[in-house]
Parts: sequence; structure tokens; C-alpha cells
Amino acid sequence: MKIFELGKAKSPWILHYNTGSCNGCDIELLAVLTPRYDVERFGMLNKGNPKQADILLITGPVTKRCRERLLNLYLQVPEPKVVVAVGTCSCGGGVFRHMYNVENGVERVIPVDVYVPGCAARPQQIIDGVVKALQILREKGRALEVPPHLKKIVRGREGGIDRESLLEDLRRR
Amino acid sequence: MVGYEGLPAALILAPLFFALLATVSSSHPVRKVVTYVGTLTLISLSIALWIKSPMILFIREDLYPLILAGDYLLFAYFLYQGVVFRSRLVIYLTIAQAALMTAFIKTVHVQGKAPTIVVDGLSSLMVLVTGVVGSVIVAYSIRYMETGEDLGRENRFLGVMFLFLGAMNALVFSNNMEWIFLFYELTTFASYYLIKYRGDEESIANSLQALWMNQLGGLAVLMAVIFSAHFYGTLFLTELIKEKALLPIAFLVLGAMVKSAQLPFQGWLLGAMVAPTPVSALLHSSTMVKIGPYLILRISPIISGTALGGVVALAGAITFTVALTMALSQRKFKRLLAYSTIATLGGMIICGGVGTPLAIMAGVTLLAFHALSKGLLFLGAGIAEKEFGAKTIEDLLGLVKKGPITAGIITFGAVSMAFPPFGIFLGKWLVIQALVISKQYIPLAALVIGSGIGIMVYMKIVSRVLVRRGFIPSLEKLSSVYTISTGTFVAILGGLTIMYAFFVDTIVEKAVESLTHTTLLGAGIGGTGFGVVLNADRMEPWQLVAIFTLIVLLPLAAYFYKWMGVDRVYEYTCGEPMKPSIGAYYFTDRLGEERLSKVFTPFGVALMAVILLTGVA
Amino acid sequence: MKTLLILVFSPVIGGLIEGAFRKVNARMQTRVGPPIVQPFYDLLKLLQKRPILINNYHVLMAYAHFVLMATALATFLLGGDLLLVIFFHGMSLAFLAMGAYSLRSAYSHVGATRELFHILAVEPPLLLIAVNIYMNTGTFLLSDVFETQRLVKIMPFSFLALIASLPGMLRRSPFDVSEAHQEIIGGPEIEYSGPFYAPIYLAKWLEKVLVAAFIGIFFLGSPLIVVAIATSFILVLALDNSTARLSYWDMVKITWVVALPLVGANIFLNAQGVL
Repeated sequence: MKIFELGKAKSPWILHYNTGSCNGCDIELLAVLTPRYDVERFGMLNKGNPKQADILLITGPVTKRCRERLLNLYLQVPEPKVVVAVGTCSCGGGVFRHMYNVENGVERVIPVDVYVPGCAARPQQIIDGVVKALQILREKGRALEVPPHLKKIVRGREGGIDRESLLEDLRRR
Repeated sequence: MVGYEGLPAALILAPLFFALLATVSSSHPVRKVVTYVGTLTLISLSIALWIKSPMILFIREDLYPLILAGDYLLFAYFLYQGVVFRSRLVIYLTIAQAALMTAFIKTVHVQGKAPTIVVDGLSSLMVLVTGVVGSVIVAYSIRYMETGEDLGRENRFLGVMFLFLGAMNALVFSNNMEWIFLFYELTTFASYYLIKYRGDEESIANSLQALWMNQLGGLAVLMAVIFSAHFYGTLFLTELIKEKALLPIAFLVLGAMVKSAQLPFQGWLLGAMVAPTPVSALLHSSTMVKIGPYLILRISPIISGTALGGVVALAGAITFTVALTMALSQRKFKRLLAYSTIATLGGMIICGGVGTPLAIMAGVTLLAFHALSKGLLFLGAGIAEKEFGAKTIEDLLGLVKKGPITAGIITFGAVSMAFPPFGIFLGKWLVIQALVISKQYIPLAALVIGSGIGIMVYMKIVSRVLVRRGFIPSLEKLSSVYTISTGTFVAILGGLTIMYAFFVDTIVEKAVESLTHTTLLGAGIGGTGFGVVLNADRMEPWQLVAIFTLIVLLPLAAYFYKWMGVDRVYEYTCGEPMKPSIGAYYFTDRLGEERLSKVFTPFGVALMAVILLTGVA
Repeated sequence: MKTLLILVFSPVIGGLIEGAFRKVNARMQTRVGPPIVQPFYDLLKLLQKRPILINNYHVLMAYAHFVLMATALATFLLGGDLLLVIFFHGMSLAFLAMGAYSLRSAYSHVGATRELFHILAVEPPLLLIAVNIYMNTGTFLLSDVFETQRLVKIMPFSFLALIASLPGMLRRSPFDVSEAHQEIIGGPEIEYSGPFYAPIYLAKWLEKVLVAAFIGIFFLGSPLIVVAIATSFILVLALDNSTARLSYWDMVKITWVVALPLVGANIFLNAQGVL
């Protein structure tokens, strides 16, 4: 229904997670929340809590250690959810690409919907990316979203999934 | 009504008979049968008495030598115990009591034609509590003793438990103060013996502490006897109420304060928690400690509206708040329950101090419902102790996974102590109004602070028990004795809660009528349908029923309704793969027991001194 | 009749009050802020999330929390007993704490204990204010209190005590310990999501309506009643934006030290007949 889609688009709550970045993008992200750029006028709230988040803003090139934690947080976010990779590092590794301790970007771990490049990504670009994310959010439903290699396991199961077992499975890979 | 004279005698002699029978029974199965038969007999007798009350009275002068003999036997026993265990306080107090008693009977002779045995609304309520709640607890103790206790001496254990029930009944029937003294000391004996039952060092030390503190109370009662005979020429409470005699009553109040472990006498009740849990449930929460509020309610016509009444209400209110604050820092579950008992008894004593029909309604409500709720909590604590080895609050973590029924019992008990629509909350609600109407604002301020702290105390118990993830596994297997005894309490508690209006119109009505000689209706109070109507206030039936339904349906829904199509997820731990270890808050640095005791025990002593002063003046 | 209408529309009124809170808060921080109907968008979004839960008990407790808050509001607006309203409000928060306690999450447990401290800080002043109302009107029943006029004239200090307990009741700085965002992420609410967070969100709206009604009974009969409510809320927001969070111990201490003597003074003056 149109009115429910309106609710989805007009009230995105974000979760900001740093997977090993230099904090440059994080500073720009927090600047977006300040009075100068003021994303709260879009209804955005920085709830630090994945269970109440719709948009995940991930910075950083995903260090090997952070991979598990990123998966942990990603699976706690209820659908519909949108992942926004902020900064060149999370888009494809950035300055840290091909180093021994990184996964070269968020897309190697979880499915990404919007890429916001930049080093550091400017607040205006971040807002642009978030608005794009809102449009994608409008289209999404409640269907379970998991990384590709898990799609086989959860295919056909509509509900009652134990997310902790999914996490265990993903961790082992 | 001089019909069923046999009933009071039956209610004193039947427990004695079962005590004797249990003591001579040589094997556990025989004692089991004796106990169960005794329980059922006592329950039926108590209910019969309540139906036939009030005002069955008669005079029994011929039993006086028996009373004296009992007194001296107890003095001899206590002296012997003091010598054997080298307790100077016990020896001195016993000698003092014996000396005073001897001097009294040699010098003072009192003629009196008042009835010795009075059964009115208040006594029959106490008999109901003792007979129903008490005997179910004795039945529960059978199963409790089977797990790891010394079954060899169990015959004496059961004997003393039944003897205590008889002594309680006798005390609430007594109108003659000398009789009250004997049965007061008899309950002291029962408490001493049962605390000492396990026989280890801590038990013996704590039982001696309980003994000398209760003997102090007995000394106060004896002083009340002497003063009432000397200054008022009578030994009967009904006569004293007519004369509005303050001096002996002040001493009786002191005795009541000791027996219900109010400030500064709270030490003995906390030490008494080393006894087996049925003892804690029977003596130290449901019945014996209720002697204090019973005596103060009994004499409330004298002290209501006087300075003494004001100080009594203040003492009760301060005990209420301080005891609940001290409960916050307790690590042992039974000690927390002991402090909560002391606090609720303080609440009942406030009602006696105020003495208006509304206050008596509050006191009776608190009395009846506290016996049930606290009895239930102690029974649950006993099951947790024996079946799951959980003695401290930390051990109770996640009990709902191991034993859902036990966890449910403990949660129901804790919720019934704090929240509407249960009786303790209703009593608190009524006490607030009674204090406001009689313009006693300082006890009121202490009470409202205490009620907030009380919620924290009971929620702390709940906070440990309910921790789990996922569904509740299968229900645990509990012995049928456990399930029947706790189930009876839950049923009576739930039934009385939902039928509170009926409770008001019958039990409360009788008690108020006996004490204030006015009807509830005359004071503008009554039950209507499911709700309660007061003079300046009303509780609507829909509120009572709605909240009750919520509280009862929720746990059932939590067990049966499994939300099958919904994803299960894990807790938020910042992404870390860990299981946090959860502890509870104890506030020992700010609200530690020693620190608070150092401040408030002298304060309690000062309050007791003021009580005596207002009696003298 | 008016109160029945307020009760029926209380979710709407509550949502608008919540939206106004966020808008005024934003303006105080020289931001634009979300539209006033933002809470309704939030609620619509919450209802569409995929439901996830940890155990069935904490979810049921969220609904119990909402039902009890609605009961407290209904008891108030239908003219029930004022003492019961205060106790139902406290009970509703305690049920939220019980739900949070049933999870093996450190944040939930700390938050739930702090929620109980909120009840501890706010209940004694509120109960004494109710006692003061009884002293001046002879009844605890709100249906009779609704007949009074401008209670604030004889109970000015009790009104100030109510304002002093507002930050604790509305969970705003310096007394927002239970939802201490930077410390415990959200306290007792963090494990709730989507359609199971909706009852908690709604209960917050109803709580704001209840608080507004509490302030309102001091100004009945006066045309300034809405202005008074609005001014009190703006005062609370101004305090929110100018102070940092204090610990739960300070919350209890400061609320009691400020509010209890104020109510005590008012009771004393009323008893002496001065006011």
C-alpha cells in the first residue's frame, strides 16, 4: 500500500559501522548528522542498534577480524534493509586494497545496494547516496536477505529461521 | 453464641494431639500420614471456626495452674539451654523473667470476671491464616525433609511444628495477659528449637540470638502484665481497652515489635534464615511474626489517635523503608525475603497505629495476603534450594530454563508482592489513604519512598529467574507434595485477589466490626461486584479484572504461544561472538547492610524509648 | 465527554506531541528537524519490518507495557483514582524492565535496572502530589478533581515539584539514564525490533499524553492550559539541550532533594491554611 511505502521511505533509521577505516569517512558521516547538514529532517535517526536499523552505513575495507562482526550485525538487521558502502575503502578496498589483512570492500562480505565513493566521501555525496538508498528501500519487501552463498540454504523458507545458525554457517566459510 | 464451644479447644488440642502423634511415630511413612491427616483436620477446623465466629467466649479460671506450670517449665528449659550453650544473656533474661513472675504471683492477686477466651473477627482471621497457610507448609515440609535433612530427628521437628500451630491458636484466643505471656514464650521456644534444628555452629549461634531477643520481648510482655495488674487491677485485654490503659499497652507494643523483628530488633529474624525453609516459611514469615501486627491491631482501639499511636505508625513506616533498602544489598535469597517480611510487617503495624476502619481494612488485607505471598515465595525458595541448589540470588540465574514451574512460582510470588491487583499492593494503596485521612504525613513520606524501593527488590528476584533464549523446554518433574502445596497457595491467592470485594465484605467486615465496633458500611467502605468503594476513592472492577487477566494470561501465553513463523535472533553484543555473564546490582558501597544498620539501629532504639515514654506520660 | 475524546484520539495526540518534541528540539539546536508527523511515519515503518525475536516472553512484555500504559491513561482520563494511575504507570515501566530482564544481554539488564530507578525517582514525588491534591479537594478520584479550577493557585510548589520530576518521567537529560544512548545503546529497548518495538514506541506517546494531562489538572478552568503544558515541555527540552547526563544515583538524589521538600512545603502551608 502506498501509505506503508511512504512510511518506509520517510523514516530510515541508520546503523553506522566502521570496519577498520581511517575514520575519515566516519567523521564525514557524523558531520552529516550535525546541524549543518541535518539528515534528521529526512527522519533519519542514528540508533546504534542493528535491530532497529534500516540503512547500514559501512565504512572501512573490512579487516579480516571485522568480517565476522559485520556478518553478526548484518544478520541482526530485520528486512527490509539497505547497505550503503561509504567511502572508497568500503567500495573496493581503497588505499588498503590487496593488503594482507583486509577483505577488499564490503561487497565481499554482504550484498551492497549503494556505493558512495570518495576519500573521504563528502557529506553531500553521502546524503545523495542515502536518498538513493531510500528509493531502493521503497521497493524492498520483508523477504530474507542473505549473502549469496547462503541463498541455497534459506530458499523456500518463509519464516522461523534461526539467524544464529546462519551466522555459524557464514563464519565457517 | 455459646454453641460451638468445642471449636477453640479443638483448635488448641488437635495440633497438640498431632504433635504428640508425630513425635511418637517411629518411621517416616507413618509421620507422613499423620502430617497429611493433621493438615486436613486443621484446615477444616479453622474454616469451621471462622464461619462460626465471632464472639464465642467463656471463662476458664481452672486452667490457671496449668498456665503457671507451663511458664516455669519454659523458664527451666531456657535456663538449661543458656547454661549448656554458655549464653549469659539467655541466663540473665530467664532469671529476670522467673524472678518477676514469682514476685508477681506472690504479691498481686487480681479478680476478674472477663472472658479468658475471645474469638472475634481478628482472631478467627489469624486462625484461618495459621490453619490453612500453616498446615499446608507443614505438609510441604515432609517432602523438604526427605531431601538431605536428618530424618532421624524428624519426629521432633514435626512435633514442634504442630505444637507451634497450637500455641499460635491459643495466643490469638487469649484475652488474659498471663495466657498471652505463656503462649508468647511457647512460640519463642518453638522458634529457638527449629532454628537450632540443623545443629551446626551457625544455627546454634543464631538460635541463641533469636532466643534472647524474643526473651526481651517476653520481658516486655511480663512488664505489661505487672503494670496492668498494678495500675488497672485487671489482666484482661477487653478491660484494658475499655479503660484506655496506655502504660501496660506501651510495653505490650514493645513485645510486639520484638516478635515481628521491627527496628532495632531485626537481627534475630535474619539469623533465623539458617533454619530449614519450611521453618522460615511457617514461623518467620507467615505466622509467628504476625503476632506483632496481631497484638497491635488488637489494641489499636486504645492507641488510635494518641501520641503512642503516632509513634507506632512512624516506627512501622521507618522499618518498612529501611528494611527494603537493606534488602537491596542481600546476596542470599532467604535473607532478602526476610527483610521483605520485616518491611511488610512494618506496613501492618502502621495500620494498627492508625486504627481507623480504613487502616484496619488495610492491615487485615496485608496480613492475609502477605501470609500467602510470602509463604509461596519461601516454598519456591525451598524448592530452588533442594532441587536446583540455588541459595543465592546469583544462583537463580536462568532458573526458568532448568525449572519453569519453580521459576513460575517464584515470579508469581514476587509479582504478587509488588503489583496490582494483588493484596499487598491493595494494602499499600489503602494504607496511603488511611495515613492521609488521619493526617500523618511523615509515616506517609517514608511509606511512599519505601514502596518505590520495594519494586526494585522484587524485580531483582524476577530479573535473575527469567533469563533465557528461545522456548521453554519441557516442564520439570516436581514432587506432588510440592506442586499441591504451592498450587494451593497460588489458587487461594488468585481466588482471593479476584474475589477481593467478597474478601472485604466478609473477612474484613468481621475484623473491623470486632475492633472498632462500627461497620465498614458506616465508614463508607464496601465491596461492589469486583471492585471496592471507599469514602474518597474507588477501584473499578474493570481495572482489577483487566490487570489480573494480564498477569495470569501472560505467563501462560509465554509458555504456550510460540510465534512459530518468526525468526529467532541473538542478543546484541556489539558484534562480538560472546555470551555475556550477567550479574545483579547489589549497591554494597552505598546501601551496605552494616552501614545502614549502624545508622538505623540506634534510631530504632530511640523510637522504642519514645514508645515507652508516650505510654508513661 | 471531552476526556473521552482525548482518550480515543490519544495515539494521534501523543504522536503529534512527540513530533513537536523532535521539531522543537531540532530548532533549539539550530537545525530544521523532521516534520511533526514524523512519529507516524516511524510507526508505519516499524509495522512493516520482518519480525524477529529472541524469546517469546520479552515480546509479550512489550505488549503488556503498552497495555498498562494505555490502562494508566484510560484510568486517568475516565476519572479513576489518581493513586492507581501513578502505580499503573510505574507498573508499566516495571513490566518493560521485566521483559528486558528476560534476555541474556548486558545492555538490557543494566537498562532495566536503570528503568526501575526512574520509577524510584519519580513515584514518591508524584504520590505526595496526589496526597496534596487530596488535601485540597477531599478526594483521590479524578472525576471530582476535574471539577476544580486553577489548582495551581493553592498548589504552586507542588506544581514546581511536578516540573522537577518531568525530566525523570520523560527520560530527558539530565535524567535519561535508562536510554543512555552512548552508554547502553537504548537500555531496555534494544532487543526489540519492528512490529515488537511498535508497542513500546506507542507507549512513549501515551506517556507524553499522560504527562500533559498531569500538568493540565493544575490549570483546569484556565484558558492558558495548553500554554502551560507547552511551556513546561519547552522548559524540559531546554534543560535537555543544556545539560549532560547524570548517573542514576544522582537522578534519584536530585529529584528527591528538589521535589520532595517542595511538595512538603506545599502540604505544610495547605495544612496551616496559609495557601
